[in-house]
Amino acid sequence: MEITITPGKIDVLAVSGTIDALTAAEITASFNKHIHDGHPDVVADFSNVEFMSSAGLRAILASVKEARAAGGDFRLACPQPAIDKLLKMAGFHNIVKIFPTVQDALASFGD
Amino acid sequence: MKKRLSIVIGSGSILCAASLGLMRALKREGIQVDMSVGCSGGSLYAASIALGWDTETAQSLTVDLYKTDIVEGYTHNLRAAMAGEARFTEASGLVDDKVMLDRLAAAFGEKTFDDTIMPLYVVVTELYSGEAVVFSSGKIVDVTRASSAIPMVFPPVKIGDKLLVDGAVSNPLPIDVAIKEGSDVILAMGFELPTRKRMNSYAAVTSHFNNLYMNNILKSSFAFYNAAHHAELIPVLPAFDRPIGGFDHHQLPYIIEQGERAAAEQIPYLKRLLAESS
Amino acid sequence: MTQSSQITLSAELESLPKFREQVKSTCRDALTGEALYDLQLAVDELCTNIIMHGYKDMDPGSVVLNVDVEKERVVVEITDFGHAFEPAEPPAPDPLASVEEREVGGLGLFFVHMSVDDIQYESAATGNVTRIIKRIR
Repeated sequence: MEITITPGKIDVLAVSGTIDALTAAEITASFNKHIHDGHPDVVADFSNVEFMSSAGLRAILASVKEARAAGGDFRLACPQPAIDKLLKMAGFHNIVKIFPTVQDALASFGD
Repeated sequence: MKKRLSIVIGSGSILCAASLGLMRALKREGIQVDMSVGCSGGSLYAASIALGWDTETAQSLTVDLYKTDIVEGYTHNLRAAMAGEARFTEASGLVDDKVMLDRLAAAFGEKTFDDTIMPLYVVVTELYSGEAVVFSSGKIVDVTRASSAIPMVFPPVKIGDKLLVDGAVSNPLPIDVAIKEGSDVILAMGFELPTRKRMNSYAAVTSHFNNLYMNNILKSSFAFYNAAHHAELIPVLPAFDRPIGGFDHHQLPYIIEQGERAAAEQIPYLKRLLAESS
Repeated sequence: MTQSSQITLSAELESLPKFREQVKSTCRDALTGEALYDLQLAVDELCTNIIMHGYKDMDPGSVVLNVDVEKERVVVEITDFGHAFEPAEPPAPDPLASVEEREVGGLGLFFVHMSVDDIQYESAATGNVTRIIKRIR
């Protein structure tokens, strides 16, 4: 698992690899550190996440709440179909803004 | 940074008028709302709040809605439909929606979501998939009518290419919309529907079970939304110590009073939260 | 065509990717795309449960993964030698922990149930065996 940061008006954090019970804590820690470094608005690019378990959902929720508590928002871009299915099953589409592309996610902050 | 306050008004037909009491309590305290979300009967009041109406206007425009003529023909048509004498499909309703549409049109006229002074979201359900559809644009009459389309009682409504029914079918207290669209403090007024101790007819048993389903969806979704929200979620749950029929409009003053009472209990806590900077 | 494999790994989170890889390599001719993902997810969630709870307060042991590709289904058996899992008496959740901090539990098992066609569990002196079945469509 790796996280690549592309800085911009809103930073994009691209996650690649797998998010399971082994890597979830590291993801939460990286995202939360970034949020508290003065970037409460974050786009998480999930296009290269190959596998995610329920541990990943907990990591996402932790970062979403952290970003919102800091006055920003955590938005998710392009999860692969199998991962999007998990997000839907767990009701995450109701509480997190999820977009088909990184561009759409970035543009949504302009509202 | 100012905390963003959202109001969510859930389904509950005539009981939703209790939100007028909530509005009254907030106005008295000078508390400003930043976003309004509603579902089913609650969508009418959510729209009134978003349009910036004072409580008197909102009250006078909606009291007529719950007179019994709005469900005229229900019993007769139910018999005919059950006996197979009247054709009934997913697009049917037991009641002609003309009276309801007239009343909603008298209240909201040509107003659209663009006329609101704060973001307004109304939850409706897509009939075939059962998925919640969140409206933030369009004519308020059309969207509130769709959100209030009690299944099988009122016909569903077609907006765009979707056939839509009561928002309560998918999301009776849509706190998730307030969370997703950006809120800090959320005031959520929800209603548990009445259950019965004795049932003497098929219709009574059906209604009892429907209300059990609804109450259980309400509780489980509330638990999930509560866990998902980063800040305070304040439930405002009016208590009613007497049975109230679905179209018992004589009870409106009592309903509003109970809404105000439930809201008043939360006001000190709410003021404290809003005073803290986030 | 049938194929089967067995691996034994220590009960630690570092083993998770290896278990998932084992499922993938054994099933590559039988399952693809979403069906393969579903089975990997179920194995991951069950192994995570064993690793995090099964050997609690015991010396860390091992987890044995058996994958059998049959004509119409894949049968996966996960064996561990830790505490027996009692579905009727799940460990009491910590009500003070927030949802994100709670350990694998309800949601993970929910995903297992949604991802496979059948789940069986038995606990014996020789170990605890969880058997999951995914039909090949």
